[in-house]
Amino acid sequence: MIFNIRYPLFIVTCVLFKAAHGSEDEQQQRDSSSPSPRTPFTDSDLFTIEGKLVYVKSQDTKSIDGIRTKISADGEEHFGFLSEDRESFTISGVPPGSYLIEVYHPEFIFETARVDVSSKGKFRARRPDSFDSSAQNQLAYPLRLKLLRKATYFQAKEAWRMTDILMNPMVLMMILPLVVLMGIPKLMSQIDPDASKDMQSAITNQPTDFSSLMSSLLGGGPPAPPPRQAITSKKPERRERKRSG
Amino acid sequence: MSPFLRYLYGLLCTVLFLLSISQVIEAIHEDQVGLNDWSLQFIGRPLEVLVSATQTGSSKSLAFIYSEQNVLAAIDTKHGEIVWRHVLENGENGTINSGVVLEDEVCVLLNRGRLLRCFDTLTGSFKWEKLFGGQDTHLGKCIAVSDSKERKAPNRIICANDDRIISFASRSGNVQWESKCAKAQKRLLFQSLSGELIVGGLVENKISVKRLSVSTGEAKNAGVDRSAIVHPSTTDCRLVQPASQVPPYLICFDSSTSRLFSHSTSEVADKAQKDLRLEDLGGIAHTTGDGVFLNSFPTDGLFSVSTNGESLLLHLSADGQIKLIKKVTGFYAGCSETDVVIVELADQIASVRVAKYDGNSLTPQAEEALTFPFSTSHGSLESVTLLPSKDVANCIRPAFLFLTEGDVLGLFSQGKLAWKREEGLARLSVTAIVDLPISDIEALVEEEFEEKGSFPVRFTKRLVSQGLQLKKILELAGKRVMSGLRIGKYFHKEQLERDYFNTQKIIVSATESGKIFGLDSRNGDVVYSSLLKNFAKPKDRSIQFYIQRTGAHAPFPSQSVLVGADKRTGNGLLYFFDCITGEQLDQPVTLNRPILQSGLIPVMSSNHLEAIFVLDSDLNLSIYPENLDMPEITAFVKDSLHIFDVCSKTGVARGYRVKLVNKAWKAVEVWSATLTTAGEAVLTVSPKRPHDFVHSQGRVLADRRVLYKYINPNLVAVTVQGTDEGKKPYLKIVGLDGITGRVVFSQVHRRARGPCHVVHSEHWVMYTYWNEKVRSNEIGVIEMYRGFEKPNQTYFSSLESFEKPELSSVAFKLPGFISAISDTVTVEGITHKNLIVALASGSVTQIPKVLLDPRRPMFPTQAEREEGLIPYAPELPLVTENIINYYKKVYRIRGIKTAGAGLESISLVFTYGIDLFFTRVTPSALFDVLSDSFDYWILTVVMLVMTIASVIVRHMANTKALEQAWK
Repeated sequence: MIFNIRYPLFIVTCVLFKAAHGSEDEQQQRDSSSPSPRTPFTDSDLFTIEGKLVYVKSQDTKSIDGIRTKISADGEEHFGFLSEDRESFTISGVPPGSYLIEVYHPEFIFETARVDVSSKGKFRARRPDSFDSSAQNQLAYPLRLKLLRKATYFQAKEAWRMTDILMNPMVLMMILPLVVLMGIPKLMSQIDPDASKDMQSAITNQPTDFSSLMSSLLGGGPPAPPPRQAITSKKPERRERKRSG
Repeated sequence: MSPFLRYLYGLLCTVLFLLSISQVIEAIHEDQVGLNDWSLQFIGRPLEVLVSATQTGSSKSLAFIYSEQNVLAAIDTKHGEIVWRHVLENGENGTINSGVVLEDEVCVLLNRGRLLRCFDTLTGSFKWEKLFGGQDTHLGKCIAVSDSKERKAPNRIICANDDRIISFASRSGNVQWESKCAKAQKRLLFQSLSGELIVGGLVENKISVKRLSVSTGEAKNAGVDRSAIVHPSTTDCRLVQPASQVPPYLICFDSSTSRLFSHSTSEVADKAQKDLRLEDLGGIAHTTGDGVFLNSFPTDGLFSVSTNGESLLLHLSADGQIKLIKKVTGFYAGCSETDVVIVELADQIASVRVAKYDGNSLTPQAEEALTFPFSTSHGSLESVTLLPSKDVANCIRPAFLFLTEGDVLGLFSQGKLAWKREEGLARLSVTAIVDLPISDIEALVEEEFEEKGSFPVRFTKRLVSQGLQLKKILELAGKRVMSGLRIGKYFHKEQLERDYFNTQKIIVSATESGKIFGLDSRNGDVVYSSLLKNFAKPKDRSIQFYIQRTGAHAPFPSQSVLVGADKRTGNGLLYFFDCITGEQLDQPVTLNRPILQSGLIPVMSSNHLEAIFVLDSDLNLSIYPENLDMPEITAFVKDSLHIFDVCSKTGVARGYRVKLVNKAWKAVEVWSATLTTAGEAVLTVSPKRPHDFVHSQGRVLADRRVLYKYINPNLVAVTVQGTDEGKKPYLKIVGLDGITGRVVFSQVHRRARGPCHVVHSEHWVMYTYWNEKVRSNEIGVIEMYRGFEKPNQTYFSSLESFEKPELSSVAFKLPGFISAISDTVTVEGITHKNLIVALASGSVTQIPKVLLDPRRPMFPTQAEREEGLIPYAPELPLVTENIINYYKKVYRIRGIKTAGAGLESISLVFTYGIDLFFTRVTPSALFDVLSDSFDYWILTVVMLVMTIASVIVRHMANTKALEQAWK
């Protein structure tokens, strides 16, 4: 650590017990979000938000059902569940106020909406990110929440493709020398012998044979031995024997 | 610039920014699911276990449980797994008052007894719900009944709350009848054996009882009111029928006065109204506040009272007399009309006996009791629920679900313990991720390089050590072979030990009721669990947990201490234990006063132990362990120890220093500051974590100047909420120096309120709040800088530093509702930080710190772009690829613990709430180790091809050379 604390000061803090405040917070939350805070709420003050999920029923969307789908109003304040037709929902027991309606599903993402419930029981739905209730932000009520997309949680694994392999630097590194290795001698042989002689004379300090240079590099040994000595090597011997036999 | 151009420019910036963050995101691949992460699902502390008496049409036998944490779940009684589960609303909207199970529906009464919600028993899918009226009170009771005597299976649900009784038909939820009744503070609802509905109501000093017809709801009698000294909130009642022809009695127990009452339900004047003390009956001690469980039996006149692990089996005679039959340490459950199941606990063994009741005494049915092990970490038995068996008459081999004080839910079936679930894991309140000890071989390697002694000594030591290592390796290999032969697993690790990159740890956690867990970070297996005696959460503060020595200092055991309160007195209680094995190390220390503050003294003693100090409410300071007498600690306490404390009730922050008075440490107040005025309340107090690594001291700007960070390790961020004159809430965040009490910064957000979650690290503070004006959650960021001048000192001292830091702050809109927030921690702090946010939707997501930079400009200049600042956008994007728990949703997260691993790039994340989730995140990608996606295969192939090619080419070259030589 960089600090060399001359006064090794030390503090500890009484961390508040949050739960003790929890109920108070909630009460405040409810009070302040409703236009006419009245506690206790009697049954006439509680309303039911209704709506429908809009999606195409298929094998893929089979998991949108009454067990995995929850429709929430303001986080964990109020929940509604999908009924047995797998599209309509109600959120019961909601006091007047403004609520953000979200759909909680592990795999699918739906639209969100904001619903204002007046103390007289009037509902008005609008886009969640709008600040005013002008006409273009209005949404239909009962709610119609469309399926937006399937959530992608994972990075796609790169598919195995030939071009990927070929364009791999490692492979390129391997192929290029190979091309050079194979191609150059071929090219050299195709060149007119006189021209090649000219070239050789032009490059005086270059070794005569490219492949022998490569072999010396790869083999790590001394450059190719003088031609006469080659007779003593084993392979030519065998060939000689074949010839004689 | 014209508005259109500006708009285009903004759009371009957003696109560029989205492109840039798509590079930052490091989501896992689909095949990595469960590789480095695990999640566990729980129910919470069960309130009631519901078992359907007649289960039809299913091969699975299910038990339905609803819990304190507002969870309704179905458990497969064969294996103890959750078949389906619904996490209902948080808070009072989701508090379950009562639950019933019918043939194919399970219904719960919630939202203060006003909403009945039914689910399918098999699949758990939602069926119907009915909202009915009622006042905003927290009572309600439902029962399932059948409308005719011939039908055994119940087909209607009758619910009662404070002022009405409603009958619903099952499956459709149609209201059959509704009836008003007098208001009550506690509602009781029973069905008597003769099929009548008995509705009771408790009001202060009054009990009213009324009998109704089940099919029509008509009153059968006028209702009786009797005066009795009862406290409705602490009283629980059961219906007991002394004999088939006699009207049933209400048996009530008031746990605030420890009194037992019996009331006849008949309208005839009740002479035998009884009022008994529990002590008079059987002499079980009951302390106020302890849970009491009343249990009625199918046997005539029998009922039981249980508290503190002891149970009394009582009998009510036809004339209302109560007498004791038997007392037992354990639990009673009624099995049939004559048989009673007794579960007795002794010496960590539970024995199950079935006894016949013949009107006078119990006669055991079998000589031998069935036994099963019952660990002390389970605590005492709290309830036993018998599972219905196919042949009802046979109670000899009972199967039952039991619930214990230590939140263990288990099934005893066919003479043995079938399974158990640790539901206490859903209630964790403090956790720590602790290093495991190094393996034996590595410990030997460490010894090898100890630089002590002369050259020959060291050389011989090295030789000896290497010999020992070899021996150990051979031993281990032998062991592996042996165990492999025995159980077929050759690589079975029996001992928890550190892995190469130190990513495997032990998660030590404790609940507020004093249960300790050690979890293996590889898979979440419970390594150990123990229940502390008399341990409870102190009033108005949380329990504290300190690690005094990690597992890294072999041969010393790791040591940690849990600071809480004594359940009986509220005084301080310290419990020392080994966090690797869970064993208790010293005797628990009980203080004479409640604890005000505690903390770790950062001076390591000769045996690598850090002591803790405890400040009690009388400002006496004591140091534990007591026998640790070191001059360094004394000097530290005398010279450097400053203690800071905020009282949550009064909102007063105080700073203390410690002095030696009469050979005892005494804290002296140095400063105090009142943080709140009338109507304000302290929401959170967040200091920095004790070892907060800050790798770089400044930020390099585009013009090569360095902006130095203001890093004050003693800074404490306090959030305060209040309401202004216009009844609008506001939120205040104050940065205090914990040593001097100096206010470093203070900010106010108008029309904002909690709940607040604060993260405080390095030179920044982040806090979340609810913005009333735009009705959305926001996250505020404050960064503190010293300026461009290089500070002279290499240390920070609160006593010498009087500068005011330059603040830069900004707020972002955060879609979703936040339940917990934390930042990632790595070993050296070089890696970027990510913010880990748990949302109400069950997702745990990471947000790169780069996005939460207050210096993000509206329209970046060339220099700012060069610096890599992203243009400001008010909304933080929640990208699904950033959700670290992908489709494994976790609910009601209360806290997130992060810890570094051996690799700098990795940060371990543990989230706890009703569910547990553990994973590792790499905020700056895996930069110090090859990633999983690294293609070893290609590398190998390339190497092989290269080698083969070189051999071939060499051969070809040789031939060519030869041919040339022949030319």
